[in-house]
Parts: sequence; C-alpha cells; structure tokens
Amino acid sequence: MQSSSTNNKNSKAQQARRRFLQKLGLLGAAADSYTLLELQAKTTASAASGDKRWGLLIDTSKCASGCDACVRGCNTEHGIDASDSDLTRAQWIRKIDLKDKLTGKESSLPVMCQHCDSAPCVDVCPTGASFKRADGVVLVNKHTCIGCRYCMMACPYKARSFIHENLTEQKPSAPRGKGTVESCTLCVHRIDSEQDMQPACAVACTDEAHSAIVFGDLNDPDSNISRQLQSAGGSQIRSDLQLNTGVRYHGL
Amino acid sequence: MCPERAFGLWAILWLLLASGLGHASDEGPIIPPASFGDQCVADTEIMRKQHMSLLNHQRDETVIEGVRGNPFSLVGCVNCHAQKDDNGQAIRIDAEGQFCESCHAYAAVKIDCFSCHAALPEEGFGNTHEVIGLNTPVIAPLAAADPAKHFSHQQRQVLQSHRVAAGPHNQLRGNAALKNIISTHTTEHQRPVNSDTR
Repeated sequence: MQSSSTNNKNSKAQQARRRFLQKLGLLGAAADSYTLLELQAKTTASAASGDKRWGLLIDTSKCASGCDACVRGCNTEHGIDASDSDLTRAQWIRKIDLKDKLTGKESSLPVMCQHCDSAPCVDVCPTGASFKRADGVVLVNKHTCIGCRYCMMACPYKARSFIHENLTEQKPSAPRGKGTVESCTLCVHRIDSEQDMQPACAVACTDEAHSAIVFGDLNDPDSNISRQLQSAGGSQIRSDLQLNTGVRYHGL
Repeated sequence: MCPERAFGLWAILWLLLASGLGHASDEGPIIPPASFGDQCVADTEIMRKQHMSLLNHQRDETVIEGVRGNPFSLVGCVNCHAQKDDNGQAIRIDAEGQFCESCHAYAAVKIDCFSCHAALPEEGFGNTHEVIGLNTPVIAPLAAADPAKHFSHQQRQVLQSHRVAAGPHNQLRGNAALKNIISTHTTEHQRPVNSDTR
C-alpha cells in the first residue's frame, strides 16, 4: 500500500516534470523559429541554399597531359606552397595520366575532392568537422577538426591532405593551419561572394585555353554544366561506391 | 633613533609606497589606433568585451552556412587594425605591440587565430571604396540600433548587460519578455524603436 502511494507520488512528480519539460520544449521551439526569422532578416548576404548543388564537369578529351594549370591556379588561390617536401605538402588537386591497357587510349585528368552526396569522410568524422553544406560542398570545419585523419583513410579518392608544419603567410580568404585536414573547397569563398564566380582551377584551365573544367549548378537544368551533362554525359570515378559525386568526368 | 636616520627610513618607505601606487594606477595596454575609419562595427565597449563571441557566432554562420559579408569578420578586423611600418609594409596584427597582441599580452590570453588565419590585411585593402564606407558609421551603434536583427538571443542577453540607458529594449529581459518579443516579431507588429539611433 505504502509502496503504491509512493509510486503515485512519483508518477505525479514525473507528470509535472514532463509538463515542465514540454513547456521548455515549446519555448525552445519558439526561440528556434525566432532564430530562423532572424536569419531571413539578413540583407547583407544569404546562406548556401539546398536548391543548388555545385559541381564540376571535367572533359578529359580537352585536358592536356603535362598541363598542371589547374593545380597551380589552386595553389596560388589558397596559398599552398608547392615547393614543400613531397612527403608532407598539401595537394588539393592531382593530375593523373591513365592508359587503357587494352586499347592504348591515354587520358589525363585532374582529381580533387569529388564532393560526394553521401560522403564517407563526413560519415567517419568523430567531431562533425567534416561536413556537407546545404549546396553540396564538402568541407572541413577546421575549428572543430582534431586532425585524427579518419577522413583521409575513408576517402576513396585520396583527396585530403594533412598539414604537418606550421604555416605562415596564409591568404585572408583561405585559412589553413597545422594539425588540420584540408581539401578542395570548390572555392567557396569565391562562389559565395559573387554571382557567376568560378573556382580558381576552372579559371586557370580556361586561361590556358583548354576549358576542360566546367563549374555550375547541377540542380539547374538550364545551367551550362547540366546541359553539357545532358548532351554528352558524364561518369563518376568509382561509381560502384554509389557516392553520387558532384565532380563528373566526360570521356573516360 | 637620530632624526636623520628616521627621515631616511621615512624616505625609503615613501619611495616604496610611491612605486607601489605607480603600479596600481597602471592605465592598461597601449593599443594602436585603427589604420582606417573612425567607427568600428560596434561600440568599443562591446568590441572589447564581446569580440570573441561575436567572431565565433559569425564564424559558424560563414563556415557552415556560407553566409558571407557580415560585419564581424576576422579579415575585417585585420584589414582596418593592422598597422604599416615606415616603409609602408603591413605589420602582422599579432606582432608585439600591435592591435591584437598589445591587449592580449596585457591580459595574458593567448591568441590562437593567426596560426591559421592571415595576420596581414587583404591585398589592396585601403585602395578601394570599402574604406570610404567605414568613415561613416556603417553599422553603428549596432547593438543599440536593433539587437534583435543582428544577434542571437544569448548575445542579446550579454549585450543587455552593457546597455547603460534604460531604453525600450530592456524589455528583452526575462522569459516573459522573450515570449513578448517572439510574438511581436512573428506577427510583425512594430517593434520598439530607439529614437536616438534611427
């Protein structure tokens, strides 16, 4: 009897607690909606939108073997010192030459972060530092990166680099530092800032008169990249992994 | 004790006291003035105490959401506050005696920003129209003007403690006031306006 009354009291206390927590939750929800409104009220800049999915289309028939303009463009843009030791230097884009043993066909292509829709690096990151933005760009939040390098192990494209040494003379638009992992950012600082801005690699490729790299919105059927994909097609590297990459290759 | 000796002792005591008092009235670090503009993105009092929380808040918005161009950016700090040497070369903002370092050394707080972020201003900053904008109070006095628009709830609460004048925004305090501001915000009623800032 006594125990049942104690139970009763307990359950009443629990109910009260539940009500209290519910109220708190409501208050929290109200506060959340308020924050959203607040964000919308911003006039100076807008957030990355899920309506877009940024991607690259690389035409390997236009990409010249021995040309590394995109790599140099990327290095200059992000202040990457290419003269560092091969063992430790950062590499956001690699040029790869392929030869089909059967047909003898040779092709050359740049490989960078493929900005996967279901990115393995995001899956394995223990701190949430490796993340995918609403517009599909996969980034490292270096403020939360602990440099464990799980993402580097998980990436099937070997797209990420770890910074081993202290750096100086970073670019204002590209903060980089020792102890963190980094990779291609699709030049977010450029594409966020102004409309029709292209990533540095695409600009460098066009300047070299190859125009092998097309950047654009994969979700927009009228964008240059979507139209080219529709007419000429584009494949994913390691498509067997079904990662739905944002970087596509034509002519492989 | 002979009077000369007593005087000597007093003199020594005075000297000790005076030097002690000298330390007590230390006026703090010598912070170099900004190279551009005469109005920061928020009042000096707020910037001194809250710059890290303002920076952190905007940092997350920029890195995760891709919102760019808002006022509390580290690049913005460096652009305006980095000094130039006699040859016109920019000096690192974390170098000894410079804007960030002078205060941080005084407060014994290590700056971690510039192991990754550029400590020198953007190339060509100062030659563009942006600087002209800074001479007029861009977002000044930001917090007083419209805290609801620019800060998160937590930041508003912190900023509340800095507001000396009992303006209408002091209604923000407490949960009831929070509910109040939420309802006024969502139904788009006119919110209280601080007359002296608009």
